[in-house]
Amino acid sequence: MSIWKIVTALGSAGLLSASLAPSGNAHHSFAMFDDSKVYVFTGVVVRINPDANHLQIYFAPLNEERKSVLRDDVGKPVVWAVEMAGSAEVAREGVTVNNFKPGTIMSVGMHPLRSGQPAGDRQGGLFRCPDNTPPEPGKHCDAVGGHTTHGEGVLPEPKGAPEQKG
Amino acid sequence: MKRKIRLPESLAILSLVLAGHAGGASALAQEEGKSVGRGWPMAPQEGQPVVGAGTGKPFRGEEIAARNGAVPEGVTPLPIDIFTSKDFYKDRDLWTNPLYFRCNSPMGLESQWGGYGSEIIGDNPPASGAWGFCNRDYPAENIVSPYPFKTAQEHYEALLAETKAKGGPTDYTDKDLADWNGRYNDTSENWYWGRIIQTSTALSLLTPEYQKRAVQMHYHQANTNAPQWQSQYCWPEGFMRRWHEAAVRDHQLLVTKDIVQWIAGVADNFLTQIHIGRDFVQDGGTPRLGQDVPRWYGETIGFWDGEALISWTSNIKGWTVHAGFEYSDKLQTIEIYTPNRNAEGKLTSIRHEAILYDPEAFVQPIRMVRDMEKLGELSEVEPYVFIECIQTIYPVAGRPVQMTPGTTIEFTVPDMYGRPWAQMWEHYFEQHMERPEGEGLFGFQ
Repeated sequence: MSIWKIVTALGSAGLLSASLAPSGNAHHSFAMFDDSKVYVFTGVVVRINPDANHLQIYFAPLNEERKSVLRDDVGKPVVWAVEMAGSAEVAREGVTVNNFKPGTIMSVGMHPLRSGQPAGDRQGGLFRCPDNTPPEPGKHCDAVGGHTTHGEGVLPEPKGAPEQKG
Repeated sequence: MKRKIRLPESLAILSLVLAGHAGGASALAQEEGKSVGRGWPMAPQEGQPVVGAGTGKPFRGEEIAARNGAVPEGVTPLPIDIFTSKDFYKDRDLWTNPLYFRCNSPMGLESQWGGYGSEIIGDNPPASGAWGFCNRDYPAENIVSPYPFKTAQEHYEALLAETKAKGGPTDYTDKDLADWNGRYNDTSENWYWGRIIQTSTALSLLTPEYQKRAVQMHYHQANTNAPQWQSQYCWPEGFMRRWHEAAVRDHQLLVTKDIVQWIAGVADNFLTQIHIGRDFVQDGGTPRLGQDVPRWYGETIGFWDGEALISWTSNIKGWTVHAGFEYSDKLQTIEIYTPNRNAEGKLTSIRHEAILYDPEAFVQPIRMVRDMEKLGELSEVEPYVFIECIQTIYPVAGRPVQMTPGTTIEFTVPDMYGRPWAQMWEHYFEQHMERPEGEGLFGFQ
């Protein structure tokens, strides 16, 4: 069989897709995720994709000081993605294009991809900080007064952490 | 398993069926035991124990008989099984033994690497794969069709003759159509989902070639962790996925004089249009309504026998269902819809009985029976969401990975009409195996 190289120009930024807490209507196997690891992030939303199967939020994680976003070796923001249930399903939790616009600060836990690429499948609730109000250093949005909670559960306890710079 | 249920046996388990379904309404349709080809009872599926192995909501909790190298008490494992084999093709003699799959259901095999969110493969994968319960199963004799027909056409014609003998088919007008319009959901247990059935039992329904294809799928879900679920790449879902709980959510039903239409879907759309009172063209290889082109979801004709809607679907494109099995272009179905009503006569659900004929894939016709629960009137429920599947997952070295937009990947263009799932398995994971050669195009040489 011939091998064709194709370029998947999937977007303008170096972004990734992610996954969701498994619902009864999953359209893909969750075996691509490593459930021995749990990463917890607080970051700034850069894009939200309201796909029918899985809503995906792309975000730039904040550093521990919560003062700036993490950047790669050439200075570009690192972007992670988190996938969750279908858009209509999570809209019932208040996770919508209008409620998580670019610039929103949020906290989320996820099982990351086994492949090591920056994406994961949401675990627990999603927490939104008040506009333009990042948490204190080392904290997450669930510790900020006036935050909103979306979905069931608290932020999970981290198990492992991705390599981070910044 | 080729034994068919005969009518006396069916009647003997009728009381079990009635007891197994909550509420009297859902039993109404099954009491129609007098027809030549519909409404015969089926052993209860609701409440059947989960075979496992797996944990979480899809398994109704944790259902694992043994894990991480342990063996269930009283079970003697085989020297080699799907978790330890390097070449499943060589194990054909073991495929009908539940122990070869460690007594896992098809869903249990999918769950080993976390397919449903919780990994149970153990510390030494894949050899440390978990066990399901060997004493749980939904037997094949409950699944094969109890009716005496060899083909869908024969079945349809018998039901039509039965209806005509009573003065039918019923010819509804726009003013007295069935009050079925509405939103429905499929909430009843179905063996086909792969939760209450041993993998070896599902295989026993299949011909040798389709057994081989199914074991190939199970191996690459349980052993190599290379699941190729159809919709993850936005491939077509295929006809038989419309019976799978994860593929369909809300169903919208519209009844008109000429067409009865179901639409449903999660990752893709399933459209069933039953053309009332029409006949199939029979001048080609496959009965059909339109041009001689296989359709992903087939073409369907039907008629009314009082409150029962009887349909025949043909001209279906063969495909596959993960946790299920492949089916061929020869698949045809007879499907019967009958209303379940409460004491006040209000429609509460629709019993959907389907008999599936595929002489290439199935050793004999099989059957599914489910209840479609009515959720509300079309004037009450949220608008139906038509799905456009946006691809976010791509195969990388034979495994699905969610890809970073802007990433450049090496991608092998699949032959979509040549089992694309198997092309990846065979290229990336089976080079060392002795795969039996199929009958090629050039056998004349």
